[in-house]
Amino acid sequence: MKTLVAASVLFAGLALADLPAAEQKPEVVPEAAAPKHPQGIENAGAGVISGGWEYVYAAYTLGTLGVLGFATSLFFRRPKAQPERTS
Amino acid sequence: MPPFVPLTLFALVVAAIIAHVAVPSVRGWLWKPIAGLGAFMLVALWYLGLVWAPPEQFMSDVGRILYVHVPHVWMALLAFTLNVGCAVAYLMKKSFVTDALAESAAEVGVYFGAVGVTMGSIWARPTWGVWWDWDPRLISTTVMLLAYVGYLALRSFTEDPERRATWSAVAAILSYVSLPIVWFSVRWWNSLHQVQSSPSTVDKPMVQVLRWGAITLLCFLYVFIVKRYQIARSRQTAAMELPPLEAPRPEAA
Amino acid sequence: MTAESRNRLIAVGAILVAGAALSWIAFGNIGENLVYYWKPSEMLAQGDKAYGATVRLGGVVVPGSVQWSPEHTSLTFDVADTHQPAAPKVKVSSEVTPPQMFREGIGVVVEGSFASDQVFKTNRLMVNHSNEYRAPGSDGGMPSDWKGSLSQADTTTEK
Repeated sequence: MKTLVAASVLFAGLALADLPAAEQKPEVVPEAAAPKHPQGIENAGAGVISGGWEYVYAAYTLGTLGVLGFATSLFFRRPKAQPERTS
Repeated sequence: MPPFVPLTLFALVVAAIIAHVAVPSVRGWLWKPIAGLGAFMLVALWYLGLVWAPPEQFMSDVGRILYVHVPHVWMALLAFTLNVGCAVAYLMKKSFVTDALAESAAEVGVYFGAVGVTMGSIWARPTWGVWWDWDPRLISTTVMLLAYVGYLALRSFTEDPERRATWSAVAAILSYVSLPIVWFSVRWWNSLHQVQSSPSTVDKPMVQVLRWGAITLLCFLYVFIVKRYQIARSRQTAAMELPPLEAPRPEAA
Repeated sequence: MTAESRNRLIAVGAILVAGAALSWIAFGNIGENLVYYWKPSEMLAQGDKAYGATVRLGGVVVPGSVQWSPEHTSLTFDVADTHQPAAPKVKVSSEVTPPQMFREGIGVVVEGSFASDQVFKTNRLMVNHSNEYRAPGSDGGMPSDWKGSLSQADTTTEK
């Protein structure tokens, strides 16, 4: 991100120095289009997904938290003072 | 691995549930080693699924969601199958044991189904490009889950235990219609969701991790159902005991 | 009638109703009335009736038909019924960026409308995944350079 900002500042500086405006377009398009796409526009239609680990971690975390959560809810609903078992 | 092994494993879980219900001495301890095994296998599943298994050729690492999404939905289908089995058993021979077991299986099934569908949605975003679309598989799964949520609501709204048991058993049988529809939806209609895979369409290491995930969740399926069953039984006993202030009577077991 | 036999009667009734409902869905004509998407041939068979309505079109992306706009943000491609070269096809113009898995030969479902200029305009483009899960390079390539081997075989991205 920092390098991107630095690069665009430098780029803007250069652009202002000799070629105003015209060159700024390619810099803007991916930024604007990125939110539409899960992994950014640069890999759109590549045929293969690159990255996406956040989805994988989200799914595994959901599964693990779900097991813990359901177990916790069972624990708090456990029968009280049942002689046949304790937990 | 021959195709009957998954069903054998499910039969084993059902046998363990029956043992829990029928044999009081099993109740105190059997769930503990199974819960421990499940916890260990779940930790190992993180390693096997995220590190050990290869990426998929087109989905690359996103394909690893396979090992948690599919077993969750399988568990939901198994739990609902247990639910309908108990419902029919109740109508054939009145027993609050099968009624309590039906209730716990339905709740655990809704849990696994809801988590599985959410995981599917997370998976759909990077692969299909959308979080959700009203494709036949997704519609039928939603209807199935809503049917069982309705089943649980019906149970909680009905006061009289016998009326509740009888009419929720009818609701259970009717809800179960949704299950074959979910299963065959990808074959009967055009859908975005792919048809069922089989070991011949999945590479061997992936099949192994998928089975690991399924056995992991089978452990939790067992523990959740028997623990939820005990809650249901104690509620029944409490409901039976309340009007006459007597010593607790053993219910039909 | 005892409560027991009444319950059994209820069970038989419920199972019959459930079975009837299921066979009505499975073997009745509900399958033809519930359509998630049209294949190109089905949409073309509608003739003028297909124009204008918001529908879903599904099929496979015809290899060699994918054309990107210069900024790589919109594209046109053909969707065919099947992988057969002679299969009926429809030209699709997408204003949205496709998912990463989009490639030639992949299954897609697009939502939009067909117009009399024979172009299907879409703003919702979904790709599907087959029921095959393969490790990269399992069809011969080196596992370590699976991304490289695939991009050699695939020329969809003409940047």
